[in-house]
Amino acid sequence: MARAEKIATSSISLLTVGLDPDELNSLSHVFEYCRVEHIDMDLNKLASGAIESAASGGGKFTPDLLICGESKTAVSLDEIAQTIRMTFPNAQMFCVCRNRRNYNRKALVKNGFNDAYLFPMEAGALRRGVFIALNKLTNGIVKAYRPVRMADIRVGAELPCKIAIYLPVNHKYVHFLNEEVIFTGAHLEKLRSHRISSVYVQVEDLPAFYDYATAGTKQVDPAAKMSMTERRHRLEDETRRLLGGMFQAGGAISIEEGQKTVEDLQSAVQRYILDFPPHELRFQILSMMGEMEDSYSHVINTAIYGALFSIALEVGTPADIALAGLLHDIGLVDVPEQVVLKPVAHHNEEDAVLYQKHVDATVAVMKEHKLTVMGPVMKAVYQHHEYFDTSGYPAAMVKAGISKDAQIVTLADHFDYLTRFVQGQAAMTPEEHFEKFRLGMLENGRNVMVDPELVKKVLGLFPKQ
Amino acid sequence: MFDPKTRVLVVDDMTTMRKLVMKICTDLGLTDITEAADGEKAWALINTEIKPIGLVISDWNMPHLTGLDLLKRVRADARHKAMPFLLVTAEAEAAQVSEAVKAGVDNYIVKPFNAQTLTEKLEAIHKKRS
Ligand SMILES: [Fe+2]
Ligand SMILES: [Fe+2]
Repeated sequence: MARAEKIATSSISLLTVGLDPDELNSLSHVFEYCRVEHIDMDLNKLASGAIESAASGGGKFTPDLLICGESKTAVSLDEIAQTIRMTFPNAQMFCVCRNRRNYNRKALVKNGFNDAYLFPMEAGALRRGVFIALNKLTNGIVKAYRPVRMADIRVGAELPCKIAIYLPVNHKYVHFLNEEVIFTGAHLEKLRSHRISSVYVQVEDLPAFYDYATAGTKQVDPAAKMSMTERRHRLEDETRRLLGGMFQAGGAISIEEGQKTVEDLQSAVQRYILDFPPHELRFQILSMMGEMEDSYSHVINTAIYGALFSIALEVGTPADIALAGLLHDIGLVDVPEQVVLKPVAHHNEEDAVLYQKHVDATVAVMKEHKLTVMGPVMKAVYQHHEYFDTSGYPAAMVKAGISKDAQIVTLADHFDYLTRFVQGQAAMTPEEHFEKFRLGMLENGRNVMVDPELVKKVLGLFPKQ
Repeated sequence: MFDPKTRVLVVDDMTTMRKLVMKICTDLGLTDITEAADGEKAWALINTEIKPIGLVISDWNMPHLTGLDLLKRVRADARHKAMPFLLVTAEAEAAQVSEAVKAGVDNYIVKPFNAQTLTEKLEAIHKKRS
């Protein structure tokens, strides 16, 4: 950490209340930037305002930033929110829920939190939210970043803002280029040689970056409305608003509210997934592989890959596939997070049984929240783990019964699974990603999950150079 | 503003919230504060205290007797008709405030609130009542 950062951050106090190990673990990189105290959920102690700082030998600890977990007592999260807000009127306060039945984002914000997050699905958004708060508290010394698309950065043009790269080994963002520098072919080569496929922009610079990227996009396609980066960010924010927001009020959702959510999801699919210039198809796929996970990134990636494969292979209906992609794993909210957080390849028998319940859970969650979709979309959701060789679940269907849309969702699901960023694994080139996908789908020696012809066609979109 | 010696009754079923409201009252300079954990207990206090209650700050949502029920009882009794009454509500109840206004509440405040907002509400009530 730079010296200025160290000085600025040693003055920031962060208090976590009732977080459990998984949650603490996902926030560990935030803690390096603050004086941190962890306490159990004890409302009386909190309301007394007398938190003692173990680090400073029992001195009083007034948090600038507070991250509160779920209540394991009878006290509701709303009451906890009110109490903490009244105790620490000026703190930035965030709530982390693991039980979707407690996750009513709007109510939690009204009752005093600055924002609330559903864990683990929204862990990425939580980290960004905390970094944005730290950025404000340190007057910009601690920085908050968001990934932008490499394809939006033009060789030969002046950069609109600073750009940074991320070093996964030590979890650090490192400054790469200054604003107003001309991005050259040599810069691009340097990134490629280090196998860096994502670059990052500070959150406060995003409006300038969007303008720059949209202008570039319009040079190639005058009819384009926005850049790939902006489309991606809007889709992420909208997906969180709709999928996370759906849980408010528990099961008491009206048919109209459910319909509105489905319509808004469909409109997001149209605006941010299907409305793109055709030449971007390969670009998009290349720029998404190997990216770090963010909130809802798996369902978003599945939706985008699914729509792109559907268009390129002329199989199934892109809009239905994309909608199914966004919805397909929503039932994971009801699977224990130890299982969700573990890679599928590491599941033991017990984990697998719990994990496989997510398909039925998805249907149940959709029903409970009155998300009524057309038959083909429902089929694609319900059959996304039915495999070509009948080894799938929940129904172990034969290939003739599996819909085309479902096959494309399954293909996209596995494509994302096999080409995503893996912690601790060296960065890969696009060719290496495709090879991993090929091996995983065609030569895994176990299951034939989708029609091998479809896999070959996807690989055919990217001929070896 | 209210005389610091005004006898204040803080009613809330949640101990932490009650203590927090009492603390803010103390911070505002009020020195004579008593408390009750629900509407029934508050009603009993209102009728047995030797020094009359000069201000009620009551939560809305409580078991047994709600804040609104307490307010109605207070207003129905000729002795307490003019007792200053501030209702504390959560966001969820804010929509039903018109019912409390009809029942004769002096003002209401939405949780979470800070010392500044409470001061404003108390000043408004004091002005209205004097
Ligand atoms: Fe799934
Ligand atoms: Fe999936």
